[in-house]
Order: sequence, then C-alpha cells, then structure tokens
Amino acid sequence: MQLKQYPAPHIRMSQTTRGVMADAIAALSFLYAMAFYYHGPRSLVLGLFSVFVCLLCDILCSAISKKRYNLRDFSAVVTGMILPLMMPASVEYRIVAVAGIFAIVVAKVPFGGVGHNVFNPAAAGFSFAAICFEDALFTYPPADLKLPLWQTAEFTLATSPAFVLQLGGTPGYDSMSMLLGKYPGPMGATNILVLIACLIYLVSRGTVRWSMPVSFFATVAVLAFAFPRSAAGGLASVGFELATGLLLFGGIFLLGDPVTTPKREMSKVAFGITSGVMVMLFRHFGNMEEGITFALLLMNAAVWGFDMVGERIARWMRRKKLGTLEGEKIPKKA
Amino acid sequence: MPMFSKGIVLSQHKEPAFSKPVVRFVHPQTDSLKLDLKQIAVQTEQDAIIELARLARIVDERDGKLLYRKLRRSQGKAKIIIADAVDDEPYVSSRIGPLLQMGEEVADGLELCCTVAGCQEKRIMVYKMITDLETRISHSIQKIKVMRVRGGYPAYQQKRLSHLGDMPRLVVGVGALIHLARAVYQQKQQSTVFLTVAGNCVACPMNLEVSLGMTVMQVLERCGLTQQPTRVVCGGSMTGVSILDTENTLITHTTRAILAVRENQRDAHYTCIGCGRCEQVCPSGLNPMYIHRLVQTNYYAGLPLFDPQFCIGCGTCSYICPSKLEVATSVATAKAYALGQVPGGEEEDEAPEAGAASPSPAPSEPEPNPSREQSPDIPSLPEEEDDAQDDDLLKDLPNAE
Repeated sequence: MQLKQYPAPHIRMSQTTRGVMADAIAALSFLYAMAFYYHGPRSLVLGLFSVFVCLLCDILCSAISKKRYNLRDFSAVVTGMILPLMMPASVEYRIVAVAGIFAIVVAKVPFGGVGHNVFNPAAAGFSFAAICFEDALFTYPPADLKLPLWQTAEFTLATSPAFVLQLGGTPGYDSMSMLLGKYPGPMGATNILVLIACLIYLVSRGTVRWSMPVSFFATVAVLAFAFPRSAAGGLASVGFELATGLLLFGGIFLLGDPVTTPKREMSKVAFGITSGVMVMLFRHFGNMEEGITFALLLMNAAVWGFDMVGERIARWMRRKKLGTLEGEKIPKKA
Repeated sequence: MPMFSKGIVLSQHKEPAFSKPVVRFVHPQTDSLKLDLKQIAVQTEQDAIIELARLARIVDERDGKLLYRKLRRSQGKAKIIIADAVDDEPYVSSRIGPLLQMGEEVADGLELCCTVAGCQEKRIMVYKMITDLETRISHSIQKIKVMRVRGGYPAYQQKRLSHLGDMPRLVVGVGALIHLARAVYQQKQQSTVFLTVAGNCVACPMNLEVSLGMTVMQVLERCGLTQQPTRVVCGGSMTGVSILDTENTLITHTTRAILAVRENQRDAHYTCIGCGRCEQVCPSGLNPMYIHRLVQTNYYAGLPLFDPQFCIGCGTCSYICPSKLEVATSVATAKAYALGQVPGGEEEDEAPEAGAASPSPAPSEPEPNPSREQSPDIPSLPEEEDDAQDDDLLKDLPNAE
C-alpha cells in the first residue's frame, strides 16, 4: 500500500483559485456581450487582443525569472479583460497594448506576481494609459454605433456625461438610457443594469464580499448628495455620480480584487469608505473626468495599514472575549 | 460585525455507515475481561459507581480523559448531565450511530452519572446540520430529551446563549456512557471502542465496535478495500492524523474513525491570492493568511500581533482555502512557537533557524499519537495527570435547543 502523509484536514472545499477567477471572467463576459450588442465585433477583438497581450507578458516575465507559469491561474486573463472595458470602444489597439504591458510588467510581476502585487494591475495600466493618451481615452463613440474592426478615425466622437459633470453641467440623458447604457461612455461601464447583475452574481458566489462595494457606493452616494457637482440637486446628483464614468465598474471589479484590498471585514468597510471619499475628492478637484483608478492606486498603498489596524482591533476584541475563558493559559508574549 | 465565525456548514457524507447496524469486531480474549468486584470496598452508591468506572478503565472518547476522574470531580456539583453525540466532522458517525442503536445502555449510563452527581436533569446532544441521514433522529431517546447543536463545523465553538446558562454540567461521550453501563450492570472492562470506517476505498462503510489494540489494517480488512488508498486517516476527516504504517498503528480510546481515501489530485501550485476566506471562517477570529505568510517567510517576530496560540486546530482555514495551501499546518507551527515549544528542536534560540522548513510535520497534533506500540491484550490508558485544573464542569458548551 503506497501511503503518503498529509496534514489535516483531509477534505477540501471544491472551489479553487481558478474558480474564483473564472467567476470574474464569467461576470466580465456579460459586459462583453453588451459591448458587442452596442458596438459590434470590435469590442470582442479588443478584449481578445488585450487578454493576449497580458498573458504573453505574464508568460514572458515568468520565463525571464525562471518560474514555472501556471496556466490555470487566470489572473492575467482577468486583468486583460478588465482593461478594454474601461476604455472607449473606439480605442486604438496600441493603447490597449501599452496599458496591458504596463499592468503586467510594471504593476504586477516586479512585486512578486499573483497574490503579492501591491497595486491593482488593471488600475495601474489604465492610469498609465490615461496619462499618456488622455484625448483618446476620454472621447467616446455614441452608443448604438457599430464600429469597424480597424479604422475608427472618421467617426465623430463625443464626450461622456462624466465630462459634463466635471464641467458643472447636467447630463442630458434620461434615467432609462442611463440604466441601459445608451450614452457615450466606457465600453463596459455604461450598462448599469448588467453591472448590478454582475455584482449580485459575484457576491452570491462569494467571490466578492458585499461589505466593501456597499460601503464604497454608500459613501459616494452620501457625498454626492451633500456636495452635488451639477445644478440638478442632491438626488439627481447621486444618480449621475453613481451611473457615470467608471465608478460602478471600478467598485465591482477593481475594488473586488482580493489581492489589493484588506482582508478583515471591518478593514474592508473602512477601506470602502475611505476609497469613496478619495474618489469623490478626485472627482471634485482632479483634472481628469475619471479619477477612480488614481484614487484606488493611492488607497492600495495603504492596504497594509488598514490590515494592521484591523488586526490590532481584532486582537483587542479577541483577548477581551477569549482571555477570560482560558485564564492564565495565554502567554503574555511569545 | 461578526468577530467570530459561525463556522462552515460541511456536507456530512455520513450515510452509508450511519444507517447500518453497529457491528461487533472484537478480540475474544479481551472481550470477556470481567471486573474483580472483591477489590471494591466503599460505602455509598456513588463511590461504587466511580470505583467501577476506575476499575473498568473507562476513557471518555471525546477528550481522552479517564471517566472516573470526571465523575469524581462532578460528584454533587453538576446540575445536568449531557451525553455528547455531536459528530460534526464529515464521514464520522461513531457517536450518533451507537446512540441510536444502543439507546438503553446510553440511558443507563446517563442515569448512573446522574446518581453520582446527584441531579435529575439529563440531555442528549446531537448535531443538527446533518442533512443526508436516512434515519431520523427523534426528539427523545429513551424518554431523554435530545438537544440539537446548530451552526457550522466546529460545533463546540458555537457560543450562542444557551437556555442552560451557567449551569454546572458534566459532558460525557456516548461511548463512555455505554461502557459505564456495561461496567456496572455486566462487570465488563472497557475493551472496545466505537469507530466509523469510511472513505471511497472502503467496500462496506460502517460503524464498528472494535477491540482496543487492533491494528488499523485489521479493521480495514474487516470492511474490505475496493482499491488501494493513498491516504489512511486515523480520526475525523478534519482533524485526524494521516498514517503511513497501517500494520503497526493501533486503535486507541480516542480513535473515532478510520478513513481510507484515494484521490488523484494534481499538485496545483497556486499562490495565496489574499481572498481572506480563512479569516472569515476562523472560529477563533484569527487571520490565518498572515500567519501562514509569516511562517513561510520565517518572520516569527511578527507573530504576537496575530495571536496564533488561540488556534483550536479545527482546520477550517485549510478546508476553505481556494489555493489549497496548508494554512492549518502553518498556524499549528506558529502556535507551537507562540506557546514556547520551538518547532524543529529543543534549543531556545531565535526563531529563524528553528522553524525553518515548511514541509516539516505539524509539531502539535490534536490527538494523542495513535501509533504507540502496545500489547494487544492490555487496553492502553492515557497517562495519569493531575486533576487540579481543567475542570469540565464550567467549560463552555455549544448552545442547543
């Protein structure tokens, strides 16, 4: 009998890291379906191209550092799928490639690869592209416009409601078209209903904890109500701030990244609230129409602090609760 | 905000073994061992029962303590006696199975315990979250009320308010109660133990009553193997010890199950993605992910913040980990370090040399070493320990309804 020694426990949950990533991929593919519906096959080709670039970079970096690449780890695929969805459907392929290369080669691999990266790769890649190609990234094709695969220059591109909000105006779209995504905007971030469905799916699968998106969106809503940017008043401002730009998309897919967010529930809530404040500060005082990725990158640097404060509070609570039960058995110091 | 997890609900897989009758598989010599009643010279009935429990060498299988010590400590103090049949680990039904089929003996044992403690209240405690049973557990067994412990897997950690309050209580395992009844009414020594044999290599999963000191291989052969197992586990599926030498590992008082499993799992080298699930399920409110990372990087100086000494060894963190990391092993290493048992050697040096390698086995196993070499005729007894502290009476118990 060939027996091997294994540590306990001897049964394992069936879900794997691959399953967690596959959940995100499934949710993102709904957004690609909507983008296909609005903009035609170009959106799918953009997505495939971005995934290809990210995977290639990841594999090449693993080869350079002489690590074995685990093909079943889909994190590069998720990063690659997120990137084009934050950009307009008319974006050039080279911009997607630049964003993807920056995401993997600069933001992910040097920190140690999957599970060790401090900054969200997709947010970093998008921020880099936004600084380099600001004009191309923030002018959008109108909704319902089928784009050809290659040339996009002859179409007139429009600004998004987020830009109107930044100028202090009121976007002229009714609530139904805002919900369905019938306005110029990022490829995957305009379909509010689909995004909400994605959030529900991810939360019900346990891939994303509800606490962080909820605290994030609640903070944004409160701040939007208190300090409206448009003249339309508090409640309308809440709707506009939540529905325009990358806010909902980022709150689900960037904030839902487990690697670059705190672990403990109370740290997650604190992180969500602080991120919401930070995003609104960027929206009010930043010079770009979308500052969520910059806000998130700043917050990512503080995750360790959030975790450590959370651990200290947890230790205090634990000792208060368990310390009386076990009495002197607990050593004062290890 | 839930500081302490309510545990995880596991699919229990108790069924093929649970509904079959408990089969006796005993050594004829040890089975006929009788007590020598001439040694007993006591006045009261209570003392007689305690003395019989001592002579019969009954060990409570739920904590490995001698039953007569527990009885003596609770004499005249305990207000309620609870028969513990909480089999919360998957595949294990070695307490609930005998309870349903030997209800009279359990009731007799409870009655004897009540006589010792001088109280009237008695309950049977079973686990509620078992969904795959073909047999129903009734609300009273032999007119004794059955409490059901709710909640997820480490059922003993469910600390919701109980209607029992702080009532002093004595909790005895079902097996020990059956053996107590046999010792008093049939003058039999405890020479057997109840255990479950299950797993996907076992042809006929069942609950067995096995003589102490038999080897694991004998028990497995009794139930039949359909294929060669890759892993044989002594104990429950969550906390058991994986053994290598089935010919020389013996059945002891605390062996609750033997699982023979074959799995063709490939080594997927995922890294931790920091999903935080281990932190969400830890019943002690620890953060196993950070402890694992500290142990992997040999940074033992950072451990005090994470309190690894509170680990109860339930293994939920490893169970839930989507990256299939050995988180529980790391936490056990960290716990041994935090409690002053430096892993890897006796020296009191600084940590980095001491707890170097991650594949080293976990230094503190929750169960006593099952592979003690002993003569099969003499039932093994745990070492005598002073009974000054660790009182079972006021120990926190799961809530039940």
